[in-house]
Amino acid sequence: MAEPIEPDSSEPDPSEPHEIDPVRSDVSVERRARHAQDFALVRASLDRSDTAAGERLAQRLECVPRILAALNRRGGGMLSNEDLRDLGQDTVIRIWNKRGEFKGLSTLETWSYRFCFLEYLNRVRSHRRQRSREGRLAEGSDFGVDAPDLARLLDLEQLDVTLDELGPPASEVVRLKHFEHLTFNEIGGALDLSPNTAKTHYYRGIDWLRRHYRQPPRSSGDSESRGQEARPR
Amino acid sequence: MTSEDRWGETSMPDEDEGNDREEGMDVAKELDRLAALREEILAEADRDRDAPGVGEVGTWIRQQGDQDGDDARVASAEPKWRAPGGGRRAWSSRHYALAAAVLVVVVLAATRPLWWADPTSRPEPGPGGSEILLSGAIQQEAPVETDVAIEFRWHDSESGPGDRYRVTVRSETGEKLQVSPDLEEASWIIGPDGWSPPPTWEEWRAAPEYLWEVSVQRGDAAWILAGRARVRRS
Repeated sequence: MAEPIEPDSSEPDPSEPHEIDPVRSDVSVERRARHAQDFALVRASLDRSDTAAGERLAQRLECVPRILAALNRRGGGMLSNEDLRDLGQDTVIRIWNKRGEFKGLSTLETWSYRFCFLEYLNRVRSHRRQRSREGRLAEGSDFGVDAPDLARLLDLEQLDVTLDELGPPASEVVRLKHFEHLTFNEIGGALDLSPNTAKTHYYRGIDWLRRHYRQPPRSSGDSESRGQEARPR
Repeated sequence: MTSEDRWGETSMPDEDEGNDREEGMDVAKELDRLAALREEILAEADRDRDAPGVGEVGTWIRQQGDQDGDDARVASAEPKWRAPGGGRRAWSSRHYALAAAVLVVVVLAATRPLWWADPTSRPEPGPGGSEILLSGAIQQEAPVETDVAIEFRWHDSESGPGDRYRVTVRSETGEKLQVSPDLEEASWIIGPDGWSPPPTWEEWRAAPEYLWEVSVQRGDAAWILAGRARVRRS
């Protein structure tokens, strides 16, 4: 395995303009404190005897139906309230069963969001297939026409899906940098890396993403799979 | 593969490093746009007090806890049986009897994992005294590496207009993997070219065995039949 290439730490970092901003620092400290609190809550909920922690976590997971409703508004209201309730139940249970994988690198809401997005997208695609079969949806119809907000979100979310292919720690560093707005010092602390190593992983990750999107698309047949062909422009 | 390995494959930096860096920052800007959009959605969600299901999260988790034998995690429980029109009703003695029957079926399935393969076996009582025969269950005749559909089939001797079926597929550990929409036909196909491949399709289509349930809605009555099915591969 190649050794990390340490960048010249004296080089100005254009992506780190707020490293010395005290306001941002306060926000960052508060954010990290929430991460730690959420992590402690989730760990406590894994203890079957701590029913209070389970109840508190259940209250926090009320964000799930709310996120799904917000996504549905961007999707043009494709799902009915009953569908949303059913989807909410499935998503909550999925998150509950997976909570042992929560690492405390984000808030519970941010962590839950990704489950919500994937489950929502899956359910919407199911409904569109059904409507297409029943002739209630024009052939070739895609999100870009029916739900432009959702299509734009899908394009952007594909970046996060692509980060999964990159794998940790670079994917985690990129996520912490952009989604949690942490400094390299803070990222290093969270992932047990030196700040310079965190920075190296970050640029490697960004470069890998850029190269990934520079490649020609694998397919262009499915008009609904815009996200699979998303290109940062 | 680690990021270092991937990095080794791409062998950067290269001769067009200047342009790479500029394009790379475009990727960073897209990530920032994604972050901003997510925060906007989360903020919008935080203000929404009336989203469908908000008050039911504790109940859902409690129900899951019951399934796991972990019954004391969240207070208050509400059965999920739904009357036509979306309302809910409490379990009747018939429901409890059915639940016991389902449990027996699951236990039998667990002890004889291949019982479903017998096409003549196990007629189950269905709505109105009819019989529903679980048969065939999951068919996956091609190697798992190829894109194949998984088909669930059952036979309902009294099926008629207005009957609705819903299939729930669970992993071996009971985790709900997929729920079908309301169906009128006595089969359901799931797969890349069939119905609703889930996000984790690649993971779970490779599993050797699934639990599955068929819930039947006929008038005011609702039934659930459950079984365990082993994927058959050629």
